[in-house]
Amino acid sequence: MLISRIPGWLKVVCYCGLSLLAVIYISPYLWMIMSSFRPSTEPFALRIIPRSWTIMNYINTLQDKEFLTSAFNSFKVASISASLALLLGIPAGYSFARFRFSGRDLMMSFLMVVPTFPGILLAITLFVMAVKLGLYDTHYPLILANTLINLPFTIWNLRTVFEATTREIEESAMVEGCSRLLALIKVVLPITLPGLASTFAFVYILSWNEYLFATTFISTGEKRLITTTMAAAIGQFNVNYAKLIPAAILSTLPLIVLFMLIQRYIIKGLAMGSTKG
Amino acid sequence: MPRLRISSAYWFILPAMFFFTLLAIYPSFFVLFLSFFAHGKGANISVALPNLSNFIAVWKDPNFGKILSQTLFYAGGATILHILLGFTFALLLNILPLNPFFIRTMRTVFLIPWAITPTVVAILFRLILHPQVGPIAIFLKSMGSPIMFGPLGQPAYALLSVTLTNVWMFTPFYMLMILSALQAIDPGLYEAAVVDGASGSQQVFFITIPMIRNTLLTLGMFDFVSTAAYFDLTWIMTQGGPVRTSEIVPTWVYRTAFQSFEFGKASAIGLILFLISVTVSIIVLRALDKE
Repeated sequence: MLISRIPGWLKVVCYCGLSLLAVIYISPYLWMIMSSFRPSTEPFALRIIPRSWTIMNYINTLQDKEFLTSAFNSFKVASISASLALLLGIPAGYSFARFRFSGRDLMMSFLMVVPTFPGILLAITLFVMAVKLGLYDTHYPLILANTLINLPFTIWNLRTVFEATTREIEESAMVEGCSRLLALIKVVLPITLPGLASTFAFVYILSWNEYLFATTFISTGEKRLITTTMAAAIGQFNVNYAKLIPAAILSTLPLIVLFMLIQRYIIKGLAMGSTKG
Repeated sequence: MPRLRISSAYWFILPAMFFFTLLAIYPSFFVLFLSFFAHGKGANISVALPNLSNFIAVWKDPNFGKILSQTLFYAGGATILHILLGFTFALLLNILPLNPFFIRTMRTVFLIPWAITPTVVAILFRLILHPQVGPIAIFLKSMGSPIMFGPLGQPAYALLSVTLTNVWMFTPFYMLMILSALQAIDPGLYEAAVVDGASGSQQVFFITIPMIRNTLLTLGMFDFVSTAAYFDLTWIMTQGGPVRTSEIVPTWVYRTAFQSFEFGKASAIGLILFLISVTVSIIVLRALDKE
């Protein structure tokens, strides 16, 4: 690399400097975590750092019906969307990884173009379609929309996952009389499980985070997702911070941890798009 | 048996392509249909002969130029800062000869803002920038400063605040992408340059940047196009306000479609945005082809 050796004291400066930079960079989120422990009776305007700390906010939030219902709705929508994306993405990604066929390059560049279609236009058409089919204010259009916007990445990433395995394993299974599909299910899927699970988790995170479709397709309070519930809470005149901030932490922290665990399996798929152009 | 292979290749792709046709290709034609044919509001939507009246209505809208230039500021400013900061962070993490475990930990910590739900990022910065509960305002007040700090409520600063929030949130993603491009550069190039007596900055400008130029251009294009169409942050932070000073094209489309229910006009605005995006993409792809 560019610098191979630096003196010891400079190394210490680098370690401290980088750590400090990282802490400053994420400090807004750290402030939010800290504020979630502030007692609901203590006004915010008093001090930046809470005078006393409590976990009561979390206990209250975890018993709050609105929070639990919308978290469950988000869980439902995100897990079904991720399953659907995987169900459609596995065979397609496998096909792109293993076969050379006419139209392959065209279809792959089509997959690159789909995400540039503005989400807001998709929201308009899917909204009109949902109203016509009587599916407005249900979770179905949301599930389909999430599957749709995440399917290109799913196929793209699964392709890199399958390309990392050798052909021989499923070919030997096919010699023993397995069909291609059966060989894929019985032999290839088990050994690519970490890659599949990470792709699933990533689509789950993206669907959980989705806001535009969730606010467009749902009007009833009990059907709201976690993102729309929180966005509605911040828009109120008297914001209940003791409820909103713990909810925001509870709905993000588990996903951040999950994301940290899976990131190395999805970086390749994400980077492929930017380097291959 | 090549023939059998080809047919099973298509069978495997068929479900995904069927799904795309149903939910992506059909809707894009539907948007075209709406923008040329649909008139009126909500349920009273009527179908007329194809004409450009929706597009003319958008063109004549007194806010058209203003919103377009705000979108350009938002997407262009965010793109430049994402790439500049992302490149700086990536370079720092890539060239310093530090413990690999430490570098990996730093990379993971820097990624956190990108892993937070966008809605929560918007809420977080509404609180941070709040004139009463925000830590910055409280700090200024405790210092005895007379400044009333609440940039989201001020026409001069709202758009800038949303832009910088976007930069905070998405820079980690671009850092990650640039970092993986930097790691793909052959170390032998640097070694040869060192032998020839190149300085550190010469190595950056004559090896690093030319080697990742295509990645930077592709990322920049993708970034500009997706930020110009990015709805969530702006809508939750300001709803385009105050007095539409932070309004960008996607929030305008949303307002037109779902608050005044003019689907034809909304589709026309969205299509104009899409055409601009496609034009930008083509220009960048042309620049790539010249290599």
